[in-house]
Amino acid sequence: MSEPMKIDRELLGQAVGRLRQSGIDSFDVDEAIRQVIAAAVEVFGLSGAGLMIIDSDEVLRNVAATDPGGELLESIQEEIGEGPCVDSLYLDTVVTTVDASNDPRWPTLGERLRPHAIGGVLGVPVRLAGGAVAALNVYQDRPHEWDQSDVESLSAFGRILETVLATAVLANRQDELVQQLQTALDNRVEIERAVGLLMGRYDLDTVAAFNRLRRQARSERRRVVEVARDLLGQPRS
Amino acid sequence: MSTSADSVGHQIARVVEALRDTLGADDVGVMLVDGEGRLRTLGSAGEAGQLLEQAQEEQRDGPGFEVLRTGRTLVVDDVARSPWAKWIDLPAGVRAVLAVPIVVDDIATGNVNVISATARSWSDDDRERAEAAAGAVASLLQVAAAAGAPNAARNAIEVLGGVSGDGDGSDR
Repeated sequence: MSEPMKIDRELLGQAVGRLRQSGIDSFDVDEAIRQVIAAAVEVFGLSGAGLMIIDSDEVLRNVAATDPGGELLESIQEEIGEGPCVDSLYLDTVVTTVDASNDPRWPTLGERLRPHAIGGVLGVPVRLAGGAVAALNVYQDRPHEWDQSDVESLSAFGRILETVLATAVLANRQDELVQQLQTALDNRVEIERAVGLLMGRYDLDTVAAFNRLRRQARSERRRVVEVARDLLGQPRS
Repeated sequence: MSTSADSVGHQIARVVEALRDTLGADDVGVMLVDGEGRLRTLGSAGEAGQLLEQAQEEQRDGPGFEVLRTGRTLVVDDVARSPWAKWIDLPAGVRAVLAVPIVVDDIATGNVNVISATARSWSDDDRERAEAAAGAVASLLQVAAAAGAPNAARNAIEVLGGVSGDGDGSDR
């Protein structure tokens, strides 16, 4: 069995300091995300990948994809609120499917995907402040059995995305994506409490409760957090 | 708040270990340029990688130094037939090397060295995978630099970072 790698932290600090002295004191968040998800596809020989995030209104948004297939997978899930990536984000767990086009968990997604070459999908939650705010989604263009080493290796790329997003949020970057994440973090507690309330009141699972909240917000043309506050009996801000 | 966040160094290790595994290689190592402009070993997953990096550091030459000089990937299918066989005392367990540069914003920062214990024809696919992994490492280093230090990036993760515990999955 191979040994885990030991890192010379002092050297790492020097190398980073040297970069900073060379004038590297910022980074393009969108470009960093694109490079990391492209690297995940290349290293593991995948067909494609994408990143979905929760925006300021707790709505899933497709923010990056490596190819048209990845873009399609993300955009359909964004539209219908159903799929492995949706579950990964809302359930805050890795979700895999051998064939997303024929998985009974997501019948509507399957219908939409069937004309396209999208088979195995793996969703990895990307977490900030203890909860998932995004999901890294990778796919193969044919059915694929994901094993534990796939999960662990791709989760490593999820951790890199956490570093990118966490650093950007803490630096109070003004990028639209970062601002959306910050607002999502601010609203999280109330929204999760409202989801919990709906789960108990209507005997729903987490994803169904999230979707119910979102549908109500959409039909009333209000923000999700406002609907959540009403449900919780809190005064509107 | 996370209590078990990955450090930048740990994430670099995970990426290159994943590269080693996906290429079916025997070992992998990373070298970085320190504050005085010297190429040094950040870490290696096994003994072969450690010995290769150490030999290069001692002799101030080798595949990693070549990559730093040229900024281009170096493919060595059989070190016994390479220029280094004559004057570098390469360790046992290192027979083929794929060395790729780590470049951050046009700054040559180091290299990733993938090692095979037997002679091996590295494919274009192998090269592309290694270069992609080096790109991910470069992104991490750039983020750490932007944060001010690897500790600052780690602090960002600890304040805002995720909770470990990946590995759960629901398969069909």
